[in-house]
Amino acid sequence: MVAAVDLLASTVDGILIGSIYALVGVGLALIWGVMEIINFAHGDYMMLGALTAYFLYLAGIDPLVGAVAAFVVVYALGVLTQRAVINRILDAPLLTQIAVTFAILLIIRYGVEAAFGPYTRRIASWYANVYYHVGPLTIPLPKLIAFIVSLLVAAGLYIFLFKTDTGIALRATSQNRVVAELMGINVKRMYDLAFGIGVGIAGLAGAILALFYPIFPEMGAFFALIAFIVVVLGGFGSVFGAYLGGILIGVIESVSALFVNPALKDVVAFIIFLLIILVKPTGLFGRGE
Amino acid sequence: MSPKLLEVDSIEVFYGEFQALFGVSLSVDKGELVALLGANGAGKTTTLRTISGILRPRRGRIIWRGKDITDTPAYKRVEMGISHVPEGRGIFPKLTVYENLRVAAYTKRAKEKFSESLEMVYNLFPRLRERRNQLAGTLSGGEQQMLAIGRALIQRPELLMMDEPSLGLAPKLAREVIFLAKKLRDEYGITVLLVEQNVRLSLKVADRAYILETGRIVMEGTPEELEKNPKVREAYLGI
Repeated sequence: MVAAVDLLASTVDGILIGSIYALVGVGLALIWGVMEIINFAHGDYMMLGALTAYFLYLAGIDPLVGAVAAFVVVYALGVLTQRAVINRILDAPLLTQIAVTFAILLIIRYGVEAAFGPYTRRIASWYANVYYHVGPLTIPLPKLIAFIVSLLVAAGLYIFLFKTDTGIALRATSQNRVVAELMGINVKRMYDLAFGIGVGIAGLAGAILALFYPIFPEMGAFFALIAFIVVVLGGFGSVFGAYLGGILIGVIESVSALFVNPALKDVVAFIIFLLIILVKPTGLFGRGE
Repeated sequence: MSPKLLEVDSIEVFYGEFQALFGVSLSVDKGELVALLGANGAGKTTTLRTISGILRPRRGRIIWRGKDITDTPAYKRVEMGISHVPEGRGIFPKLTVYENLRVAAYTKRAKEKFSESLEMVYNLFPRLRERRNQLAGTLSGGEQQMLAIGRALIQRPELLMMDEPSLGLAPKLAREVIFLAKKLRDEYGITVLLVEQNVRLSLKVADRAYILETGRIVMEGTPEELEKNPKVREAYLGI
């Protein structure tokens, strides 16, 4: 029998870690929604964000400031990728697009490994070992910080997409790029923004994840996989569907670890994902086209 | 003599290997209402898309106020005052009515006058005011057409190009929308290039008209001239 308090603790922990999955998924959904590009390298931009925060931390900069810097650095790398590579394959066949973003994945992942070694690194911030006790729950401060940052980013993204001229233009572009151009919108500029912000948010997620998670060149692999599930679950292209999908996957994983061998917790999450998609192929929050 | 507002100079446009336009030339003077008429597949939409910059001609030029804009990207042409209400309306279904109008004010030219333009559009189409917070995809066909035209007006165009605004509308609405083109010219001083299949109604409002057949201009003239032409009477007016 599972005690109610364990169930509660697992749910809370799932929400906290799920808020990271949510951010990674949101970035992927944004890129897909605007450009219909599947970014296989998404998890590796996340790793670049974590690495950026790590090097800044070594230079004495607080990881939270480092997280903001991670967004800026990865955003810039994203715009660079967009202009140098992605813009040239927008109308290419799907397999070409997949091969290209997969090549970017390999370049980033093994480029980092070659340049900085295959080591695992950790950020030991002053709050790494701070815990809050709330009733029967013990909440580690780094995870709480990650959760709060995640909510702030989601709120910021919401305000950007729904309340600013540029954000509305970005949504318009995602719905019809030709007509967007007829509205006077420079669509290429919107693609820069979508790819930059999309991977930038992943980079930021990597930086806040690094508050309590080891950094290594291949760390992106698992999170990219989760991000794909989260995006499909959320209804492909629905940015806020992806956010909720991320939280949901986090909770499923965490709670299922109470019932099955924890080594299988991801398997449970994937099985539940498959079941949901069988019943509702457009995802939980997708309305189809 | 000052240059024409718009000159299309023998453009040839291809879709891959398929040639859609074979040296189409036409011009529009400031303050005119010009109709571009023809059957389905004649190349009317292709002509408009080349003027607005969505398509590039393989040969020929687009001249705007005496300046060659053949290589100017579409989004910059909007800033220059060329607005295009696309075929099928092209509203953004998952933006609200208000957001559709707001996104049309993306250019500097339009942004400065947005609140004034918005009031004008809401007064012209009170339906849009009532439904401003509704998703545009939920509007009826006629309302979507109002939104598409309203969006173009927000852009503060000098030249308004309308691609088959009457398509898919009930006869009464079709008539209203074609007469709206005239109202916009008469009351707001907007130059209009109207693409239509409805030749009879279009000739009632136009100052001049061109007839396009399989990628070539085959006739041009005033409505009176065209209405007298036996070929036009037989092929387009069914008389």
